[in-house]
Amino acid sequence: MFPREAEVVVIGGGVVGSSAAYFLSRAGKKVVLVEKGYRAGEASGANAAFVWTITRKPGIDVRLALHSIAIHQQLQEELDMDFEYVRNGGLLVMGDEAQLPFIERHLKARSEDGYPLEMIDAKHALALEPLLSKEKVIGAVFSPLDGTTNPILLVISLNLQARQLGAKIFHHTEVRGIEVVDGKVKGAITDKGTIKTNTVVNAAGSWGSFIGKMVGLEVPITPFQMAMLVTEELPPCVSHPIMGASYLVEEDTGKKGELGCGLIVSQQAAGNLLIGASWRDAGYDKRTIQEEIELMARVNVEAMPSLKNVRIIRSYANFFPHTEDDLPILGKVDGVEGFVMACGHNGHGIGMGPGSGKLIQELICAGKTSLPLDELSLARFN
Amino acid sequence: MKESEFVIIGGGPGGIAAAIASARAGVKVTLLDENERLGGQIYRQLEKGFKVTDSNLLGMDYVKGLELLGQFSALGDKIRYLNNATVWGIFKERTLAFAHEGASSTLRFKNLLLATGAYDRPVPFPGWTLPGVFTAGGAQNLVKTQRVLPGAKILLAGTGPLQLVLANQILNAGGKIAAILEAGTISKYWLEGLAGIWGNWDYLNQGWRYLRSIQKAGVPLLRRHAILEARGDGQLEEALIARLDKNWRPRPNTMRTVKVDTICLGYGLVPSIELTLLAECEHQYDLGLGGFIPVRSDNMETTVPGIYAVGDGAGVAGSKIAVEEGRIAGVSVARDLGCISDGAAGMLIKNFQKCLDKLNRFRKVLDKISVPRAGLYELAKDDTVICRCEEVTLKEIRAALTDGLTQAKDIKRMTRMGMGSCQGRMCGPTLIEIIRHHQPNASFQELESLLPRPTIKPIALGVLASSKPGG
Repeated sequence: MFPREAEVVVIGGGVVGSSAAYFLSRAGKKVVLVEKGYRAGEASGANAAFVWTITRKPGIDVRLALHSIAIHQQLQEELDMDFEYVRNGGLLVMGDEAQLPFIERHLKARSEDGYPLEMIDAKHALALEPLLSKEKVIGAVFSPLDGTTNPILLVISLNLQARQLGAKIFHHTEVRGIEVVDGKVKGAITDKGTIKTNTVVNAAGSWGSFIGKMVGLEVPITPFQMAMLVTEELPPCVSHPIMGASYLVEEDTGKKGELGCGLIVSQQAAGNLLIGASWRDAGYDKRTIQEEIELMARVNVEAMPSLKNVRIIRSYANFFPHTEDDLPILGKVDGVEGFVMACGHNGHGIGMGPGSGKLIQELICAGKTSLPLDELSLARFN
Repeated sequence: MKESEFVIIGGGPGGIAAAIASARAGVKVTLLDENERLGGQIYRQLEKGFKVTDSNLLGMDYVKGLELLGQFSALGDKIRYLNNATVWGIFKERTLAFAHEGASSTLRFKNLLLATGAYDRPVPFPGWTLPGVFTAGGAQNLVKTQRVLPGAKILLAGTGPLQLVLANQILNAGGKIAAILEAGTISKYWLEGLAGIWGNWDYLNQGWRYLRSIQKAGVPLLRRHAILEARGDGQLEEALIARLDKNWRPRPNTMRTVKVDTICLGYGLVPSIELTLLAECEHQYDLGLGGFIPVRSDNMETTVPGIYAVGDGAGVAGSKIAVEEGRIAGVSVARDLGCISDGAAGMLIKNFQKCLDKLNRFRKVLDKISVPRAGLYELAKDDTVICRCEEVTLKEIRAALTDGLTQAKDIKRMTRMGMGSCQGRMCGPTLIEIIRHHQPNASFQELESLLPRPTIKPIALGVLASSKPGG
């Protein structure tokens, strides 16, 4: 039976929406979650699987990331189903002297903000990750807080637990409109029926702008494609999430639209390496192209030459919900009472999703949050 | 980037026939085949270092194949043929990527023919993962190319004429067959099928010859029988078999065990549709033709203009049909490229079409006998592994189904089914049948198999890294 009413309707079944639905149900709210596609079918099911803080900028960015890491740990204890969260520490690897100024600037800023990072030499980095090329690596930044998870299992685990707590979860259910009367949310119209509600959470990720439009809001989120490769299953050989330092070099990542690639490697519990990652502006086209597959292969073989005989069994791509300042949009909006934003995580959704979901629950239940959300409001774009 | 007006993927009967037909008409053909030697599974040639002294030992198809292979090589430089070339992706703007000689290359095509063949239908039952259990195709490969018998005491179980072919090859190689279990039955459709068989004496004759030599060797051919379970301690020791009813469900009180060390499973074939899926051709479901197959015009063109599909990969129907389909596609491409006139092409196609119709009549008779019935997919028990790569059991899949997830993609996400090295080839067809069983009116979208994403074959990272950009 499709529900006719709910206290909260969460739009989006990715990690952000699923976290919000779980925490809201746990707080006793009657929640309905609607997802237009598959469970974890978009960015939450096709990413690098990092729970990551190293490259997070000083200020609200790193605070939200750290807050969310605490929530990941909390979930690991609370949820019945294991989601393979491992906190072994993460590595940002330098392979080029030219990257050093960017790294130093980042480390200084983080240190001044009160969240310092540790620099390690090449020998130490190679001891941590022996597959890295001795010729290439000149050093790394290490963060003991970082790790990897299984994002699909995380979402499933959140969904199952939320359902036990009374949440109703509907996949393949599309929101067609949102009823607003006198500036207040009154219902969510879906292709399966209308749900009466006073509160709607927009956790639609890269589709967040479409949901915004339904209540007359301009939400500046655009899809940005990121692709990765999956290897055959291997014995344990990569124990930390590894990222190339090029991600901190603005000239490398700044060319939005063009095909680019930076080193990303992690190993899933099943043994597959997830390696990448390439990015380009491809609209909502999720198909991977030959150029990006081959580019990722070149970048990764250069960084980890001994992987050259490892076989690739598929590629995948997703759309990161991109915002201009690389920060998510969280919180209430002016002019539409009961409409709550929870999207735009820019490729940090797995790391920051659970923390964001918890904050949204606090906002809806108590009207205030343990981490101030002012800097993340939609109003910042005006 | 290299360009070709006609690229053929697959060097089996369909691909070879298309290459010959189009090259004769003056088309510049490029044929990519992932094997060392041309011929595909049915016309598979021996590995280097082996010499054929009596080609009859390799089966009548092998002899037929030599004829076609001879025509192919006679065309010489009119066909650009690359062996050991594994196509790993088709992309927009009519390009495809393939691994060859340790590097990845790109080819742009005007017309493309997919003649990718089929592979053994995986049928899970308790014990099917035990060492000693082979697919018929795998066993055939051993016997044909390496002259190695799969075991000392062999049980064949499955359906359709390919079982008889394999039995003959095993007997000719000196093997011992305990029994052949045919899940279908021939007699019931015998009279009904005569009309279809009319005009196909050649085909029928082969069947008789195969049957006769099996009889001569004293091998029992048990109709309406199947294997229910394979048993053994770390190695196959015995098979539990039973007589079946018309839905291929075991009849009560007919179960017995047979001591064997090898089982060859030949429940027909499943079309390799990874490339037609990747090329975004429309597909339809036809279990008689193996499952999901590309929708095609009379000229073998898929719903994507300029992309053709022939042979078992477009619907399992055997090598003779593959050859006629290949010829039609080859001539059709030659006409589209202006190499031959509409009139000449029309005449040729009409003749090929006549042969094809005849063969299809016979095939339909066999289909009626051999199409998998409901009972086949009820053999697996809760703890039977369905996805071998990720060791996903039937119980886990059922749990996902009762959880309300009825789409193949959902089940993949929930269970990791299809995420392993076989890229969903082994578990995909079974999953489709399990979902259909659970939900008989499932739509294509709900059934669409585990959609392939490049690389559609496992390709070494170093090979992808040594791509020749633009080359």
